[in-house]
Amino acid sequence: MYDHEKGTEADLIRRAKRGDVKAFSGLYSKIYVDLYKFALYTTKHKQDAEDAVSETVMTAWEKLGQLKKEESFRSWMFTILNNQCRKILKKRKQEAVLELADRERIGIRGENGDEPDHAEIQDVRAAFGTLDEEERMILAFSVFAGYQSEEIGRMLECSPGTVRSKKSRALGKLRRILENAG
Amino acid sequence: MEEKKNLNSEAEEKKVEDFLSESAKDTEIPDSLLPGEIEKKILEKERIRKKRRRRHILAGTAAAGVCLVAGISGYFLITDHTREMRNETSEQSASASSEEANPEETGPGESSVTSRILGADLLTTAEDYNEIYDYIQAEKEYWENAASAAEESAADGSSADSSTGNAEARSFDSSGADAGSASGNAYGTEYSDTNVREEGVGEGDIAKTDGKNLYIVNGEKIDIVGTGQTEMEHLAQIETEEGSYPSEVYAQDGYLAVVYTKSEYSDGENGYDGYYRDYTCADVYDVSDPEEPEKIGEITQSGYFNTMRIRGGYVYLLSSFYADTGAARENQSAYIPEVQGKLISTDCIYMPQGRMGNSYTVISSFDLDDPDGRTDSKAVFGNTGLCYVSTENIYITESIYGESDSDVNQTSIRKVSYGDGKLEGVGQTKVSGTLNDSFSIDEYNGYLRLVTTVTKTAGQARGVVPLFAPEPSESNSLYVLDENLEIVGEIRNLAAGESVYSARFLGETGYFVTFRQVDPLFSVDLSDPAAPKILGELKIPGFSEYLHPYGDGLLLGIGMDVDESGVTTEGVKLSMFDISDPSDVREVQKYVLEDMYGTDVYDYRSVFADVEKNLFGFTAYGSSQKYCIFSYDENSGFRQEFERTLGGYGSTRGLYIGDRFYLVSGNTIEEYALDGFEKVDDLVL
Repeated sequence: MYDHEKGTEADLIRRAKRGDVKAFSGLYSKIYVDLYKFALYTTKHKQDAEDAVSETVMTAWEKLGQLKKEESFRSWMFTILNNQCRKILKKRKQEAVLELADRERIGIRGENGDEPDHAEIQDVRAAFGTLDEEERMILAFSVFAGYQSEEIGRMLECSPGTVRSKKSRALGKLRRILENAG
Repeated sequence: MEEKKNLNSEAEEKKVEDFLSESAKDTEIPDSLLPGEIEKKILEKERIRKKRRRRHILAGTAAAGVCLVAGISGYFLITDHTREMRNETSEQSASASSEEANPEETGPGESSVTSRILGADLLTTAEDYNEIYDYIQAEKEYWENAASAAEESAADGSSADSSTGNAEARSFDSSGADAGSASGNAYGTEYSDTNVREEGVGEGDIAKTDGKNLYIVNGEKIDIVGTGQTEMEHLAQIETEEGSYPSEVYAQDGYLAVVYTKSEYSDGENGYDGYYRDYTCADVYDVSDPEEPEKIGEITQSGYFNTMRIRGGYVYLLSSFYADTGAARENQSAYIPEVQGKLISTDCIYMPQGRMGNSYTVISSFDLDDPDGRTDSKAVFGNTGLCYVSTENIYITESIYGESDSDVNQTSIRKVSYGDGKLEGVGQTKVSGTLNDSFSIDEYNGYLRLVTTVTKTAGQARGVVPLFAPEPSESNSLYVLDENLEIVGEIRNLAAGESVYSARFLGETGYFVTFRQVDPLFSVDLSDPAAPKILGELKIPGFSEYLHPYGDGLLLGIGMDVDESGVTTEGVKLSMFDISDPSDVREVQKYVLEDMYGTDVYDYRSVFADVEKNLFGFTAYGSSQKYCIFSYDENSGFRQEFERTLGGYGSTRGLYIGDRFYLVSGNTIEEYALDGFEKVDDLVL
């Protein structure tokens, strides 16, 4: 039997393209935590993040043929996820159900969930939530997807220079908020 | 956060990023996203909505479609229903296939890989929308019943007495004028066109030239770049509608077609159960003044973009539309495709064999210089997948697994003739096995030749097939069909245990590569359509994924080098085959790009190949992505002429105009001297 854990990415992609669900799942298992974090931080909403990742993975399965032969699976997945998150944010804007978004904002657990005692983490998340959509995207790409400015620029359709300065500004903003809070 | 530092200092930024990363460390991942759950979800989806998007998209994106093959069939739920369908459908065969006369053939349910052909059939149009609705419901029921693995058969109402009626067979009378060759020379300058599937049939791409300007799909915009001067000049930018995603452009004779898919959101009853409906649009611009592109027309049809072809000044736009199987009968626009906002009339909808279906391929034609003028539209119901367009016919194929009248996977083929903008259904049939990509299907002198990989699907227990089912046995078949899609010649059981990786038909000879451990390159004599025969079989390590005729008696293979175990790829491999004697094909030169683990030759349009200039280029992937150009010399072999490391992961195209070579990657264009590849200019859009 084929060992899906040990296969190289190229090999897993080839198998997945031929319909091997296990191979696909093997690829996904390496990145799904980062995918979810990315979605959670950009959409600020648990259910939306879950939907975005879920939608992304199903889309990826369906469109796997479009993945350039052995192109980085990770990069491709983040591209799809980025589109999903933007779609969600856009739709949310249209629907203006911001209230709901706020209620379920990340960091605030449901009634049954225990409030984690990492006060600092809560601060960071809350601070992050105050950034605008583009800033969140840029930082999420950088932190969770591990993207360089050039790649982020390509995703968001602006120049690497613009990304760098916007990223700088966003990080500065975050820092200021954290300083004031702490 | 105690110390105050320069806000923008790098170390400080890093720290904030680390904080951010740290804050996410204990993020709880919803159970539904765990890999095991995702697997279940995929299997469920594959099982129930098997015919939906996936196969289509796989097949839809040019040659990228390819490997639909093998493993997957093992995952489907097979019920006895399959068998009943088979019995019914075989009765309806319009013609006895050669197979059925074969004494080797045993009864249904036997376990060997067999090839049973449903038989060719005429394409009939729909009686009315109700008939279509019933087909969709039949399809839905079929899969619902299959999914619940019900004891009782689900065959009610799907007796396959497919009607053969009013559609007329059409003969090959139109020869059609040549629409252009692999390269052109408008404006007196030689330039390269997209590497197309079929000579004489134009294709759109993400970067095109008309010999004067470059037309580039750049995200949601189209950029027009002038190349007349030494330095490139950004002339204009076209923005498509918000929320639309341009797929391709096509430029010719001062006109530019921009094809995109847009999603329109329909609100549901309470605002949460709304759905997206996809439309494929082609906007045509007059770009005779490239700085002031002027929109002169627009075609909109249901479904998302599949492909477009151009011949004789007409554009043929193909999209894939999926019926909303949950729609009410009166909600016709949910299950009948539209063109220009109007439902396609029943006499333009071709019905499938087997009385079930939920997908359509919508085809519209329009005149590039008069897009709002006379147009024709047809919808081929029951199929959407890989399309092959010869100079006279459009073939729509779809891979069929597990549901059919056969214990092997199959490909259904629907044929629509075209010429001067007119579309007309010709016929339909099924053959055993599935296609690797559009190079596995080829028309020549009225005959359709196909090479398929046949995988056994039956012989499985009822119920969900276990995940780790042993790999199904595979073999390969070659078919020759006449213009009515009747099989006239075939070779079966080739290269058992292997599957097709690439194919190329060159006139009366066909070449195809199968792979498991070594790479047999088969050559087939097709000069007598009724008696195709294998001429030779060359075994070398590795495999070719793309084959390109390279001048007199030579065939270029681009693929992977594989070690003797057949497991580890050792790099990208270039092979030159001497095919001057098809019965004695030899690999005369090879070249391995070590440490590269793949190429983009999957999409043939990404290959740049100019045999006259003796140059070919493609993107290879390793630790980084590189665009490489090679030349070939019979004595010294392959020589790398150019290499450029690319920044990202987007698609890259190489093309030339006059003595300049342009490398288009994402929003960057680099200009080089074609002679020596010295960089001349670059432009960031």
